[in-house]
Amino acid sequence: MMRFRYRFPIHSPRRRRWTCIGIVGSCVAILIAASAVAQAPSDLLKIDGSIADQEPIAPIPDPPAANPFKLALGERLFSDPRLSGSGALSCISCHDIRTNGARANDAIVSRPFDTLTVFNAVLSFRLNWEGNYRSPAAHVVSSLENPKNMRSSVEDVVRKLNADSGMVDQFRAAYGGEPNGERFLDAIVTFEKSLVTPGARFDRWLRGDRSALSETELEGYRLFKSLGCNSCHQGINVGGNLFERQGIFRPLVQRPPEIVRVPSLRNVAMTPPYFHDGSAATLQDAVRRMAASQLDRTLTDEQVEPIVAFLRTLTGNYRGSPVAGATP
Amino acid sequence: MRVAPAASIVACLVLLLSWLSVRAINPEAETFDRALAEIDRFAVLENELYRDIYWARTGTLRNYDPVVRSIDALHDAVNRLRNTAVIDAETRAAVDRLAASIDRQEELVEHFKSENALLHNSLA
Repeated sequence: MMRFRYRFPIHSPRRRRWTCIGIVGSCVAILIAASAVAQAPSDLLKIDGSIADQEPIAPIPDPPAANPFKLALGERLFSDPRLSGSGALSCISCHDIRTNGARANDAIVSRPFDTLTVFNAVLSFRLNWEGNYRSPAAHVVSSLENPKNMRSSVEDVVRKLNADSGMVDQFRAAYGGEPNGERFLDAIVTFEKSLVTPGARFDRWLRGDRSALSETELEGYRLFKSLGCNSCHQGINVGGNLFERQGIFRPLVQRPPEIVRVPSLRNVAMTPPYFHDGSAATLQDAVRRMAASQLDRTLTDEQVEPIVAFLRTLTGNYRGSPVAGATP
Repeated sequence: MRVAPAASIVACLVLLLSWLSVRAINPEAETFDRALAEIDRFAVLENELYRDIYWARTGTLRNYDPVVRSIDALHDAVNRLRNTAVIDAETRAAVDRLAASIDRQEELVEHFKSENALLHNSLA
C-alpha cells in the first residue's frame, strides 16, 4: 500500500489518468452489454420454463369446476327466449357462443355500443364498454330490464320458469328447490363463468411451448410491448382491468364515452368490428388508429402486420375448438 | 353440629361459582373473534395493495390483475365485517366508515392505474 502510494500519489496526474481510463472503460463495457441486449429482442423472448411469470400477459386457466346440473341449467337458460318480454330474444341473440360470443351484424336489437363478446367476460374487472357493472349477476339483471331489448325482469322470468314443470324439475335437480331469483341468476352466472377460452397459441407459448409462435408473431409481440400497447392491454385478459381515456393524442372515436374500460384483446381477431362504435372493420385499421390516437405513433405496414399476426395468436378454444368468427 | 357450617360454605361456594360462570358466558365471543380475524385479514390485504401500487409505480408489477384482486378482496372483507357488525350501532358506523374508505381508495387506485398506464406509454 505504501509502495502503491509512493508510485501513484493521490494528486499525481498519472493516478488520475488511470482512474479516468477505468471509469470510461467500465461505462463502455456497460453500454456495449446494454446495446447487445437491445439489439437482440428475439433472444429476450426465448425464455424457457416460466415465461408467464416474466411477461405482462398471463395465460387463461381452464374453466372452474362447476356443478354439472347448474351448468346445464345455465346453458339452457342462456338460450331461452322466455328471458325476454317479447319471447323473441335470449342471451344468445347477442352473444352467440357457437361463433365468437358476439354478433357483428345483428339488426334485431337496439344498443348504443358494439356488442362485446361474452367469452372471457368474467375475467374482466368490470363489464360493458363503460365498465358500469361489477358482477355478471348485476349485468344480467340490467340486460333483462333493458327497455330497448329484453324488456323483462328477474321476477317475470322466474314466474314463466315456474309455469314450466320440466324447468322446475331441472331447478330442483340443480338447487334442491323451485326457480327463484337467486337460483336463476346463479345458474346463468355459473354458465358465464364457464365461457372462457384457454389454449390460445400465445398462452401455449407463455407456458413454455417455444414452437407455438412464429418469428413474425414474436416480433409482433415485441413491437406490442415496445410501443407501449401492453401498458393498458395486459393481465390474464389482455385488458379488461382498468379504465382509460380514448383519443389522447388524436380523436379515436367521435362518440362518447371519453373514458372506457379497456377492452380485452382475447379472441380479438374473431370479434370485428372494433371500438365501441364498431368503426374499425379490420384489425389493421384498429391497430393503426390506436397507435395514432393513444400512442402518437404512425405505424408502417411492416410494423402493423407483425402486431396483427401476434393478435391472431390470442384466439383461444371453447369446448376444444378454436373460437370462430361471426357469420355475417 | 359441624356439618351445617360446612354445608353452608359449600352452598355459598356453589352459588358464587355458578354466578361467576353465568357472568363469564359471552355469546358474542365467537363473533368478536371472527371480526378480529377479519380486521387482521383486512390489514394484510391493504398492505398487499400498497405494495402492488408501489411496484406498479416503479414499473415492476407486470399487470394490474393483483391490484384488482386486492380491491375485490377488501370489498369482500368489508362485507364479511358488516355481517358481524350487528352488535351495536357504534360498530356498524365504524364498518361504514371502513367501507367508505375502501370506496375512496378504489377511486384513487383506478385513477392511478389510468395515469400510470399513460406514463408507461410515454416512457415506451
